[in-house]
Amino acid sequence: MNKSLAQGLVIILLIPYSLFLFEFIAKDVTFKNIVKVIASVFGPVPLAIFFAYVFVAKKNIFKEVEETLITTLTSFNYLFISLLISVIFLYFLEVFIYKDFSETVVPIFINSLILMMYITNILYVKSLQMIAILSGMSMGISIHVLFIG
Amino acid sequence: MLTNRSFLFYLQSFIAIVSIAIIGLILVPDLSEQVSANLLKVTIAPFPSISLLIFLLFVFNKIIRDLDDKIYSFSQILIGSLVIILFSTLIFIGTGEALSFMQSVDKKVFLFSIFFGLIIFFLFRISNLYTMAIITGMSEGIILYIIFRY
Repeated sequence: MNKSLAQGLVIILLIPYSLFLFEFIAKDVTFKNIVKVIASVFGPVPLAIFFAYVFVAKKNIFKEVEETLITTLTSFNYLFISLLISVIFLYFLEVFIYKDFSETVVPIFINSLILMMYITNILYVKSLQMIAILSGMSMGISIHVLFIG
Repeated sequence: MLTNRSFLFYLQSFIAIVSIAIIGLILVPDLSEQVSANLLKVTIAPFPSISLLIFLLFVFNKIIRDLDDKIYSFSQILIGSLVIILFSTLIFIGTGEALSFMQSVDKKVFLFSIFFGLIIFFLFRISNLYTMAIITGMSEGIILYIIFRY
């Protein structure tokens, strides 16, 4: 896995994240909203630290991934499947259970959770399938909030 | 530095204490008036948990520290994540229940000092995967309460 490629992926993931932040704060600037945004940005830090704690000793297992055609195709398959599953799941969630999903702070929380998982994955676990699944989930949430919801 | 398990444990307990303190300060609307109104009760409030902590530190002499680099098995990781889910739901429900009948600030200080003493006890005596999971569940449950209910 190329390291500069991974850093570029993290930077690309930051763009919809900052867009959600500005969209939520621009509605009305109160103390409550600012507290909610700060909590949702720094919320997944304990989970990420626990993830790092568990996988400390496993850091040299996935050392180098061969960049052949088959591994690229399988990782793209993982990405598209997770994108489709997350879009369909969020659509039914918003229709049936949680009506104001895209108006609350929950997409920011899920996106920052995915960002933390990205960073711990790059630092400790280094598996390609997990990067594909996380990118697909993040793309699905962005597509749902920006275009469908 | 981040590949050291004891450093990660200390960082996690520090984050838990800071998050509980900040959220306790946010959830009290008029802090300075209440503290100045009953100053004596606020100063007395953390002492029961401190005495309980000192008693526990005297009773449990055995120190358990499993913070070296070893690979956990699948069932241990599963039990740890189940402990996280259990404790975060307990804190998520219990914060709303506690805030409904605790309006004054001294009871909140007492409740916070109990959690503080629990984390100090874990730091000094028992530090392994499951206590790490308990501390993670505490801080995560309070953050989930802020996101969904506040």
